[in-house]
Amino acid sequence: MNIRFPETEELGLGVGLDLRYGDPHGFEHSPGIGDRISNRVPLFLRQQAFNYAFFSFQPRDRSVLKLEDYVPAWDSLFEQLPPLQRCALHHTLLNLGSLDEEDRGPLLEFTNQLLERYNLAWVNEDLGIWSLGGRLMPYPLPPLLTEAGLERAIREVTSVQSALCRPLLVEFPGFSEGTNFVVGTMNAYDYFRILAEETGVAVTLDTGHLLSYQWWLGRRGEDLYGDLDRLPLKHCFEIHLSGCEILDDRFVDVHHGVLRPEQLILLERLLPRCPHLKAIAYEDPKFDERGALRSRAIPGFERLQQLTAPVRMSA
Amino acid sequence: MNAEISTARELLHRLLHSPETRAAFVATGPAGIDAPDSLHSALESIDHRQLTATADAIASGLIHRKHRGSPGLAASYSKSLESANLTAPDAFKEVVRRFVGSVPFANYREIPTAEGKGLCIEEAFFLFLEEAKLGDSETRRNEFWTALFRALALQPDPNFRIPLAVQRTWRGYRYVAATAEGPRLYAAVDGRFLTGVLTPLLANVLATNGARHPNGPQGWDECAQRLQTMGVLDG
Repeated sequence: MNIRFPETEELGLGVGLDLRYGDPHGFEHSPGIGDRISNRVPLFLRQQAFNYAFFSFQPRDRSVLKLEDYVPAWDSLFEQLPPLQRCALHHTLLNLGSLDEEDRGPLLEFTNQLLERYNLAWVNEDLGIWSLGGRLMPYPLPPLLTEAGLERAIREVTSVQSALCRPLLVEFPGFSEGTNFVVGTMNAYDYFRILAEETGVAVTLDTGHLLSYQWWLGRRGEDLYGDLDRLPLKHCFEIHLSGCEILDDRFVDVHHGVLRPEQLILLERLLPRCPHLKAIAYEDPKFDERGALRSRAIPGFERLQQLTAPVRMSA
Repeated sequence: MNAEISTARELLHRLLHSPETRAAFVATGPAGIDAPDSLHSALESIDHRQLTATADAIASGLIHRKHRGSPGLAASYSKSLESANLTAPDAFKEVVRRFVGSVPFANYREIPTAEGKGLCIEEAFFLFLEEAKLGDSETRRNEFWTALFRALALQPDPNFRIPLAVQRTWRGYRYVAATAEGPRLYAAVDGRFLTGVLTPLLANVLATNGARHPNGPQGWDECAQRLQTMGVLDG
């Protein structure tokens, strides 16, 4: 089966930003003005040399989704972006691991409008249970790791992919401990590979999510980097690195921008194994009001820049 | 296969929201919650500690979650909780835990599903308080309608179900509640929340949608005009 990759040149290092409303790292609301991108976001982006960016969609409020409600805020973002080769969308509402009967018609229509208006090159979302019965989970649960769960996930991904006007990138889910548990005994790497092969979907590998799975299996040290060939490496278009921590022997996907050494080692091992990899994103960095990266995050970010430099140069 | 998914969905819902189901599961495993044999091995893989932590996080999320135009459950229902001596953090946490296991919570939806829109969190919590008879009835009702209309003022096309008693007007929504102090209007008009006790005449004008009575009392037209200007009565 052909893999539906985004049509783009090699992009190298990019950034992913979670654009929440009422958040200094997202959109801020001012009376009389409305929602605008926080000043620190463009300040940060202008200080770095990212080649692409993806933005995580967050609902503004509890209204039915309408593009016009999002245009002022998103326009203010795009008006202030530095030059980038591509932009993309990280969705949070597709619920690809859903156990519910979904009616995504209005959501997909809204998504396509957003993709067209801002010329976003792809849509990505973690393969997870983001909501159950219309109620959001604190952190997306992995999909049901059973044969029936896999069959359902293949159906959901196929259906969403066919309705989107841009390629869908399915992301390996997180197994972060604390607000997450696993139902089913299938190996998650095998599950994800079969899903990719059956649907022809391109994939995103998140280093924190992969490590969290191995950690959850009880693996430590060198074993954390095992089984990579069980992943759908030929389908991998993008890799994400967000801040992770190990707290009381728990692997936690905290998204605070501070990369762990294990994430960078895993990236090094994935780079030569993913023949169609074109994009690597530093996800959810945290920066101050002048747009300066937090000092604790700098060593990891600099190492990430070194690792992706050859990729960036070839772009 | 679909039956297995639907059963798994139902069991997950109960495991996450019902403390009794969780306790039975932790004590006796899948058999203790009447899970079919086909799901035993999948359910046995659940880490009990993580399941409990996730359930706690759901309750904690409800305690801290705020929406645009809504300050959160504790603030929206502060007087009801106060009258029931439930404002202390631990007491409120326990109330929210009970709420999560209730029928009104099961009818709450943050996101519409194929089954349509659900109750908003404010209405679900109000119905829970009503069923549990927590706090004073009139205070509960006032806090509910206030919270609902504040939400409608900022989200006139909401992704939750609006109670049938609420009337749509050209410029927003209105509802008149019978209270001890007289008929009270709640309205969401042009992005603003309005409330106040009505005179009997104003209440009559609204109840008849402004339709003029042949022998209508004096001042009827002026009242209708005033309500139209406010946006709570269509012209």
